[in-house]
Amino acid sequence: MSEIKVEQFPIKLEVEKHLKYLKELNNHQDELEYWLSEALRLNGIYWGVTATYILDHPEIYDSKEISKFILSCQNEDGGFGGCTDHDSHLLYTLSAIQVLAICDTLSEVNKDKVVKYVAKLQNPDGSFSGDEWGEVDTRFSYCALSCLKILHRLDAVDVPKAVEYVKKCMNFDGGFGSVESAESHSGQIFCCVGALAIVDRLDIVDADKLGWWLAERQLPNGGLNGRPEKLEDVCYSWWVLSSLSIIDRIHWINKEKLINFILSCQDTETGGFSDRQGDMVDVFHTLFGITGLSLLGYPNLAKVDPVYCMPVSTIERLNIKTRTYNQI
Amino acid sequence: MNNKKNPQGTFNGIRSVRFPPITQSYISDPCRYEPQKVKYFNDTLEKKPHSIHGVCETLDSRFKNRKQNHTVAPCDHNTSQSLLLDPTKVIDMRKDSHRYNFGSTSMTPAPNTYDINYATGRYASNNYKFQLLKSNEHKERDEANKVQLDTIRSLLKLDNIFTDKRTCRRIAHFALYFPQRQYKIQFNINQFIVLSYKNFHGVKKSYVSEEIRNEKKLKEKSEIEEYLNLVKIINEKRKNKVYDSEAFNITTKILSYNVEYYTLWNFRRKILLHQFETLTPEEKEKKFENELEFQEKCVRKKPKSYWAWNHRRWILENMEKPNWKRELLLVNGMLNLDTRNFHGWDYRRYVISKSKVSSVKEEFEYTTKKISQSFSNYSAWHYRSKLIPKLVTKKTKWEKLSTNEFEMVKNAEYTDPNDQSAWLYHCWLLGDDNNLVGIKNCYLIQNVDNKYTFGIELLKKIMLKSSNSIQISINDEVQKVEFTTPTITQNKFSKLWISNLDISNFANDTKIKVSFNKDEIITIDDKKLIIPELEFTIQDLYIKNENINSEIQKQLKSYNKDCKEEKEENHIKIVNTQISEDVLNEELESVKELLELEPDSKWALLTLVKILSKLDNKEDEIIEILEKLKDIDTYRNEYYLDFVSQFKMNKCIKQSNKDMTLDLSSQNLTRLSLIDECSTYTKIDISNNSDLFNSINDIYSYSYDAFSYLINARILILNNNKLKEIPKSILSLQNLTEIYLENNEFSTLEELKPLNQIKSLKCIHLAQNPIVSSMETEKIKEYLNNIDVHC
Repeated sequence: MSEIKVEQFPIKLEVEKHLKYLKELNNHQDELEYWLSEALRLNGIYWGVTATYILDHPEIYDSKEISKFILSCQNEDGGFGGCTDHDSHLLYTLSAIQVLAICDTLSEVNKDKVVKYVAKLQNPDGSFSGDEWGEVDTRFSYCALSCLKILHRLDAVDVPKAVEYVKKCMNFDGGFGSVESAESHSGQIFCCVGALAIVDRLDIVDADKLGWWLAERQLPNGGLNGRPEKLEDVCYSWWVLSSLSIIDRIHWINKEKLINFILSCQDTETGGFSDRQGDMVDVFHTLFGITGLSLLGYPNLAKVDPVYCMPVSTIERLNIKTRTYNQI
Repeated sequence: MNNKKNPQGTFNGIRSVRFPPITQSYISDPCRYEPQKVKYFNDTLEKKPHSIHGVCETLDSRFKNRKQNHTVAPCDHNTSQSLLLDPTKVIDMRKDSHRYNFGSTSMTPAPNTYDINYATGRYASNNYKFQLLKSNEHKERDEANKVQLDTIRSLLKLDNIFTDKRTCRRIAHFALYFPQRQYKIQFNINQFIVLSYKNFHGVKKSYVSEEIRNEKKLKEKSEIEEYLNLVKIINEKRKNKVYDSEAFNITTKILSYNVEYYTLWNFRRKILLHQFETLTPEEKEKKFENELEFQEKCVRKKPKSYWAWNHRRWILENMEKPNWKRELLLVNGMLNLDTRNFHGWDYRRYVISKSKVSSVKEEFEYTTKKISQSFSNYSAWHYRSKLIPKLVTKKTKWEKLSTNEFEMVKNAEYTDPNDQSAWLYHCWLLGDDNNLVGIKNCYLIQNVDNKYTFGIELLKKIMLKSSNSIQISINDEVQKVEFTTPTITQNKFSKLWISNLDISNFANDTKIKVSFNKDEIITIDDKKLIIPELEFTIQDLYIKNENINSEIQKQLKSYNKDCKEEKEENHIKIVNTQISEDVLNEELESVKELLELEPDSKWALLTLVKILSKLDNKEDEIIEILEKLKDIDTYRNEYYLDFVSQFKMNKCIKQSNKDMTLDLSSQNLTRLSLIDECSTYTKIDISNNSDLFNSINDIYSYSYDAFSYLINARILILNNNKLKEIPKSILSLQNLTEIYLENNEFSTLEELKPLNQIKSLKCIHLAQNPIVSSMETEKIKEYLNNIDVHC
């Protein structure tokens, strides 16, 4: 595999600008949008923190302060809400645990309580609900398994049942949907393939079929879309690419063209990435632009783990590395 | 191709030439397009008879030798090219013809005709560039676009133009393809595109001055205060569990402002549940009705809000008499506006699972309708793949159904061979390896420690619920066996299952009976494998030197005809759907015919590969096509390389049938995809395939367990492969006595050390490795437990 060099591309990664963008994310309290997006604050923090680590500048945020805030979002039931004074949900519980893991402050959280919250959300068919109101989605299977694996407590749930449910969501194209019978979608595929990787059950995946479908997400402009006949979007650089990486077929797409596309979605004035060129940037696309580049081997970035979407250094410290796909 | 008489009168034959393939383009502006395409269109139009709505082309010009009667597509005759090129006249609603009814679905051209305008419309709606025009919020959008709308309305004399997505696309299309009109329309279209963007994804960056930004902030200041004040009150109420109507009203206020405030949806439900305690059933239903209305208002604002959709499900599930019919209508409307919205499709399946408002057959017809509106509706094709197994209960029915399906994909593929939706579905229809049921091989091998291994190789991956789901009896006595996979991790889906079997006390002609517990053998798609009992003599099963058990393999072929799979879903027995050889050959002809017209059609070539791979001895042809695809579809060239390796390997396996040696040397393999079919070979030569060891990043790690399948390997040859380390999975081979590692890159003893783990190893060939020139052979030998070292 040829090595990726910065000079190969007409635009370079604007590390300084992205760091500045990330640093200032919390300075927009005079804008209405800041308050309206409060419900997913914990996701936002996870996206921002992980981005700084992959850019290899973890000092940008004060990890003590961040951990303190995260802990303030834990509710009585053990789960985490999207912000303080928000109800618990698996989506935010995973983000919280991920950030604490990255900042190496997991010891400060009451793990048993978190484990109890997550385990309670497993349904008899193996699926997971997002919260007490019962919405079922394979995204939540990923959230639950990832969270428990980070806490080294997979024993708290019925793993074979969880696998069985994910298996039921597999489709004719080798991909996975949100629930049984739902259409394949790259984001959902990441969740399912990731969940299976966490519990070492990638044997279920038809890697050739799925890998081919994922490779066909690459469009002539180099970008990736999430479903057939849809538009390209930077976030699929992550969903598609990480899935391909987990099943060891990342070489089935054109890396250089994709790097080119991702780099073209940077805002070279303000920093940050948008979904595609010329659109408004946001922290979500910023993270997935950067992690995508990291997976593609772009120079001077910290390595990201395709299964957990966290720095490889964190995964090594936690000792939770999962096997990638075996070739057969 | 057969142009059969089709009772429904749907199109059965070949459609016309499509548009030239999209060449690589970095232009993100959809209004600029390849000039050669515009030229192609203009040239095409010159030559064809056409109508206001497009060009009707008969098949005559393209298939001169084919005598056919053609019907011309419904069109107006008094049109000229100038009319066609003028978009203001092209879309002229004053004509009294159903062809002008854009809201209707009767846009399909008549049989054997080709309406370029129909295809352009479809092409435009298929092309991802045109999805820029997508928006569900047409009401608000219309307000925002009032000025442009008025201009376009007067220009096109059309009142409802922007409520019809297809029409939008048509205009966009004409703006693109007819440069003389481009400017006028382009402006409007661009405005439209920009203004139809909303939220999170696809928010266009706007350049505003510092001054305006500050002004905006100032304006927002009071808004923020008001908002935060409401949030403060509601949090207070939440904390104190105050479920009063004031709290309810505040949630209404905030949620209509901010649909994503999930905690308040939760709180709202809690308030409702509290209020219900004192309400009569009628009052309760009334409340629910209001709630549905409120939810609809919110979801219009944000059609992709998971939280809002959850709320709707909660309401319906708690209602005394939910009106599921209404929900179906609602979801129909939603899917008319946005045909690919997966929330819509998921909600549809939800409604149907909760009620009986639509049968499997009706749903199937719905997908047919959606697909005929747009062949590129992958969501509908997907849904079809879920419905078909429920419709098929008998073999004849499947044959009838599949004929219809192949017909449908053919129509789609001829209309736009670049659209992947139908092709992906086509490949599924053809069936993959997963459709094969049965046993490929069954054997006994003697290991170097003189014990025996019984192996059973299936045509598809299975998992055993317990280690004795497969039972073996000799002389009616059940033997103690424990089946596992040869790989490092156990309890997985695998084609190969092995067990120790003690046969030392039995004569050669003793019969061995193998039986399968049907409830304990499962496939990945959750089907039960139903396979009859097997019975062979020991000498038939035993593989030794020249005695490869070809007799058994022959018998298994007929045996496999009695094997089947079953799945039960809602008390319907779902049977396996296999394509007959006749159908395969028909499909082969059909794809080849398309390739005559479109020799470089990637999807047609790929489908050809899929078909050929199901027929015997087509490896050379397949490899040739894949080499061609590698050049056509350069982004994915490594995919084709890996695919080529699979067929090369298959060829080698077939050629090796006479003895127990498998020669894979100098094949430029990039992967060993069929290695799980190589468990009986005693000598395997993989020399001179250095790409194999370069391309696989992880070959040295534990996750690469390819070699563990070579359970009978005595000699393994890995010369000329630039190897630096011993691949870990080699270390599990318990019968390996000799390994060739000549001309590789081993330079230290440490790198060879793992070989010590192979207890059976007697001999190693190390010539032409750096270590040989720097170290005495004796020293290496000493280090490697005194096995023979040849340098």
